Amino acid sequence: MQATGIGYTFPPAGERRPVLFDVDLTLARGEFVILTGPSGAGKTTLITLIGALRSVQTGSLRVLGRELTGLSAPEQRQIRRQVGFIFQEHNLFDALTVFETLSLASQLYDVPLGRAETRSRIEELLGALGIADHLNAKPRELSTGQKQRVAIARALINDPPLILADEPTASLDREVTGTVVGLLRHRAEHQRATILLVTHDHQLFDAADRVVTMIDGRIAQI
Amino acid sequence: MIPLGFLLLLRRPRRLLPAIGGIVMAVAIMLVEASMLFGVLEAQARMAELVRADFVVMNTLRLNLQDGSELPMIRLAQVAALPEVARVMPLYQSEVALRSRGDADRADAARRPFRRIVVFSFSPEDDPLRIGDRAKIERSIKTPGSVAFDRDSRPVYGDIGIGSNVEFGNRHWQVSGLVEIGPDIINDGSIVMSSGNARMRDSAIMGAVRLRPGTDPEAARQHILARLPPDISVLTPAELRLREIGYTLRAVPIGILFGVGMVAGLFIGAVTCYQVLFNEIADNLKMYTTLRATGFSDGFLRRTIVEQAVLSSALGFVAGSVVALAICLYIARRSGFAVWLSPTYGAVVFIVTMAACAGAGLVAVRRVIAADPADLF
Repeated sequence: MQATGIGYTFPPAGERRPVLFDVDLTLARGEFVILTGPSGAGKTTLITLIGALRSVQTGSLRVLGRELTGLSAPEQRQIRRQVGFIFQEHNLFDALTVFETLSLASQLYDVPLGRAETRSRIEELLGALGIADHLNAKPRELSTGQKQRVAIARALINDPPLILADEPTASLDREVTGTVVGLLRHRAEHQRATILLVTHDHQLFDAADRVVTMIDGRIAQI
Repeated sequence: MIPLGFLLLLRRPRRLLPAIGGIVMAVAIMLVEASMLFGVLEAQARMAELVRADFVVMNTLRLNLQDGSELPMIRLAQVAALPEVARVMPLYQSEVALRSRGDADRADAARRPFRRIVVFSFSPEDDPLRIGDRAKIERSIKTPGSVAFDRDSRPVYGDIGIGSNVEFGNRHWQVSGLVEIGPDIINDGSIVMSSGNARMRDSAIMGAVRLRPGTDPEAARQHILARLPPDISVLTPAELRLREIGYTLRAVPIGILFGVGMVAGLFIGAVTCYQVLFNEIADNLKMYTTLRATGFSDGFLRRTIVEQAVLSSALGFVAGSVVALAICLYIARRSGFAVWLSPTYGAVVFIVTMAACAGAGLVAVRRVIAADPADLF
């Protein structure tokens, strides 16, 4: 990912509000980067631009070998299919089991997978996250931490080359946090997945290759 | 994998049941209204279906079957004289006030009210109407003082069957046979008697015309119209039926009355479906938005919502049809109208319900499409 001169202004009704100012940031393939900074620093806006959830207004943003500036909505959606999003809330359908949730997500995989292979991938991933026994459980049968791990599994099921995470461990205990961070590190090292993780948890900083701090819409420290 | 929309709806009975409930009501209303409308129209045109002839000859002034404009007998004789015509059977029609005497004693019978009833008369040797076994009808009306009673009459006349005594025209008559005609909007019932018994006048309500075998019907019709004065109309039974249906729809606002009911039912179903789907989306907006954020297309989301709409409408249609059938059977039994559900009505209502619910789903899903997935962060 390479961002050059990225600027973004929110168009709330009646007043335009700049939130990003001339942001330059490069993430190498397989790099694990933490993005931190005070609230309102522009971290979320930057991550939504990188994930093609918003359209680039000024500057250049290349993600996974593609320039995002000027992309249409369908083209942005194609980019997002290669990104693993881990949101702060799990946003699971309460009517679907863990297996069904992950099967649904696996429909976005580039190559159609057979049932057996899909099941195998799901079981392996849930095992890595420590929730293999909850394959047929529905969200109401899971704890908050377990639901978040399902959401993390959903983001990783298709082996995305780029993972964007917003406080993914906020609802997890220390032990599970370690498991999740270890899994992400494994992805970065062995699958060369690029990871950009937004967090205020300083205890995660040691796991990252680099920590980027944003203040008032600008990169303050790399 | 089962479609996502089906899974989401089937696994939430608290959402499924209200969705189906509204559609059940809508489908039942539409089917019952349609069945009642067509039942009334068929009842009004029933005489046309009962005529056993190639053509019906009537006075041109008789624009509908309720009109009593008669045809001079000379006209029927003129038609019968044409070489293409094998036979002309005059049919007479009048109204009387009838009461059943039953087995009540003289004093009690005298207190019973008279009820208006239609009288159809024809020669016992003729069979102009398809109303029962010909031989039995002939035997029952040939005997002086005997009549045949329409068993499909509304029960307002009391319990009348073979052997019953009835009174009209200041005379007592015995019911010697039964026929099947059926009531309509205006007439609760009918009796059939011999034209000899009825002492008919020199005019008839219509003539049932049968052509000689091998005759071209249209050529015969044109010949009749060319040879006779323009005061007669010549129609096939099918044409007579359609004319009567058209007249009923134009003369009486029945189409509007039932049509408004059907539209109201459809509106109820669509609004209920929309409301349920709207609530479904509102409750799960973040989940649907997450699907968009992760790369599912807007088309996938539309399909998911429409799947729920379609499933609701399918289940609601099945249950609504059962309810409608029960209502129609009750109405038919009480009114005497042939109110019944036909596969054609059912198919139309099914398609319309599906379309309305799918449309409601497409309107409801706009909220998901409008949601900004970036707000998930």
